[in-house]
Amino acid sequence: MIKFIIRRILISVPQIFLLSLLIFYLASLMPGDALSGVLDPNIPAEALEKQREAMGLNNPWYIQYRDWVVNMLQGDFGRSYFQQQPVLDVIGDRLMNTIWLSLFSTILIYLIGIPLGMLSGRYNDSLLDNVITGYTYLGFATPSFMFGLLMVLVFGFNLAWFPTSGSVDPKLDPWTIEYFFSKVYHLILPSLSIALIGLVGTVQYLRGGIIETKQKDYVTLARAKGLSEGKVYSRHIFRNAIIPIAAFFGYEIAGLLGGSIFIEMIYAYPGMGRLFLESISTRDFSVANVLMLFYGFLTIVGTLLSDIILSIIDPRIRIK
Amino acid sequence: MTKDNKNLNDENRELNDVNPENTGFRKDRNEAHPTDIDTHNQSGTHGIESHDTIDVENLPRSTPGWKVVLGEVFADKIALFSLIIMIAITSYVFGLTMFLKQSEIVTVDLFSINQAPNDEFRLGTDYGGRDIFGQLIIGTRNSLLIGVLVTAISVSFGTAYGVISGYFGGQIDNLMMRIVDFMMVLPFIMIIVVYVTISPDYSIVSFSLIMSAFLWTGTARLIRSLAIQEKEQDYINASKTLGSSNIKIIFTQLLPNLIGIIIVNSTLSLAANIGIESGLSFIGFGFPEDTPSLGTLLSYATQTQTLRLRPWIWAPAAILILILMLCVRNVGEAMRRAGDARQRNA
Repeated sequence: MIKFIIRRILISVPQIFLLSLLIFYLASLMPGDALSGVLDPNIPAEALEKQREAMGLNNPWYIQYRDWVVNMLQGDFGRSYFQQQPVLDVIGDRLMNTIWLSLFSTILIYLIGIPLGMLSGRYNDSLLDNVITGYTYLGFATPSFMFGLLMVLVFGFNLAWFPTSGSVDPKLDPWTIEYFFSKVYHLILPSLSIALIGLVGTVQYLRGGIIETKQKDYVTLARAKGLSEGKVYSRHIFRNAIIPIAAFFGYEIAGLLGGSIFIEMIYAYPGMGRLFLESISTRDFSVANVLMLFYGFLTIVGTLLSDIILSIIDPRIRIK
Repeated sequence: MTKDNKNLNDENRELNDVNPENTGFRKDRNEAHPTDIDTHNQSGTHGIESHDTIDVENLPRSTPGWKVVLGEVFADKIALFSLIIMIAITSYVFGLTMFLKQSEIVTVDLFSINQAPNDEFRLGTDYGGRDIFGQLIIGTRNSLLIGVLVTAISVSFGTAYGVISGYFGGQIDNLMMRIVDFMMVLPFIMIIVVYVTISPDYSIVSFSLIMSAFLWTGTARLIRSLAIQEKEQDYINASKTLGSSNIKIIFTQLLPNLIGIIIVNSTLSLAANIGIESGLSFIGFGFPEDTPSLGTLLSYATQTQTLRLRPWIWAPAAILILILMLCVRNVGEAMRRAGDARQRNA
């Protein structure tokens, strides 16, 4: 297993390398360079040119690429053209906000999705199953942003149960209990919007898995031994049917990170996705680049985690 | 967006799970294939007498994949109804756009801003005084067009990629699949947004190309896994033994057996692609405002006032997206059932 994990990690290395090359290439296509962030209109063009030379901006691309990577490894991600401060400072809280949102949504997906899937699979073709299947059927057809709009309209504006923008009440001091509750309060509606649509895959997958496992010989055996129906399900069926769900955990988080861009926009939630759209519309490309790099990196780590979890719980994967 | 992607992946996972023995497109595989027998007799390598007695003309032939698929759609009342609605919407929209002028509809008219539906404007107007009904019709056309275009490009590329990777296998397969793995971790929504922003000349065609550049990977994976299963089958081995070239095997024997799955995959991708395009237009990085799509109309709803007080602007587009997605999915699901003999109705 160690061998598999090491091999899997080794595959991620060229992925990260290629990702950085691609982002570097995209960055070179974008207008502006590292100097645009410190630009003072009074500096004459020759001085700028000299500065460029000194900063190595006229070097061949592979040397620039090396410098870029080395700088990032040392924690220097460049400067925002628009806000005139280091990119990391601009991203700062936004990163944490998005991670909170994704984490909260993932928890909700499993908290609601797994029971629904279990009920639907156990009592398949009952009225309950039909209701749940109907829900997943509609959920599959609804784009997440459309559902988000509906949620914000109904629960945010019309019923006014939840706030419709921001991630926390700005009047509160950090590190107080009210601050924490305010954060959770602001998270509920956006993460519900993500989760209620995001869970349909989990429900369908789990349902299918349970119905398939039901017919396995070892389940018949368990019944023949006289195990109670509840135990047959909890000990034998659910455990096996839940394996793929657990394994896709990393993919789920990775996917949610990418998809949060829509929900963050609808709820004016100050996360990375919204920051990305803002920085694109203000042409603040240095920030946009680092954000793309972060998203790509987080996705690579997410899929890596998924594959490792999968190899631990399902030995058949490892043989390949 | 994640959801759409995930749907697609789930779809593929499910499709991957389809057991080859139960796959209808390949049923009756063991029955003799007329063309093979022809070659047999001509080459005369096997002098088995019984071959001469086979009535080549009247051999039982397996039902072609597309026929099974269509049969299933017609047998499923909901799918048939969905198909009819889809055809109706498509022909209505394309028929009507021949008489509507896009430039006229997207011209700002400051005297009729944000009007509720009335006699002059059947569905009201937006903040620029533009007719919602006209935008809806043109938007549906644009959304459908781009959806079909992206699906056509990405499915054909993905199929070619998957067949090559799966059929030839070995190191080629290994390398090609690493590339797919890499494509799948890219933050493609963001890359498209960047592309739309910095590209000086982007049009429907270049926009479809850049979208397809990221959306072929699901198809490629699916087709590869099927091609791997398929190439181990006797009919391919027999054909190889007889000296058929790889190109002949792929085009005349392997692909016809995959065509059913390819059609199903295209249909389900179409729904996902329409969703992705409207999502991009929704965040303002799809088409420009003078080329409305369904997502453009929805994006007006990001303004609180419009969302709360002027539902006529965004609600029809939302309902239309929902109807289109449901219809395409119904048809796709019926087709998918055709691929699994256990679930078939027809």
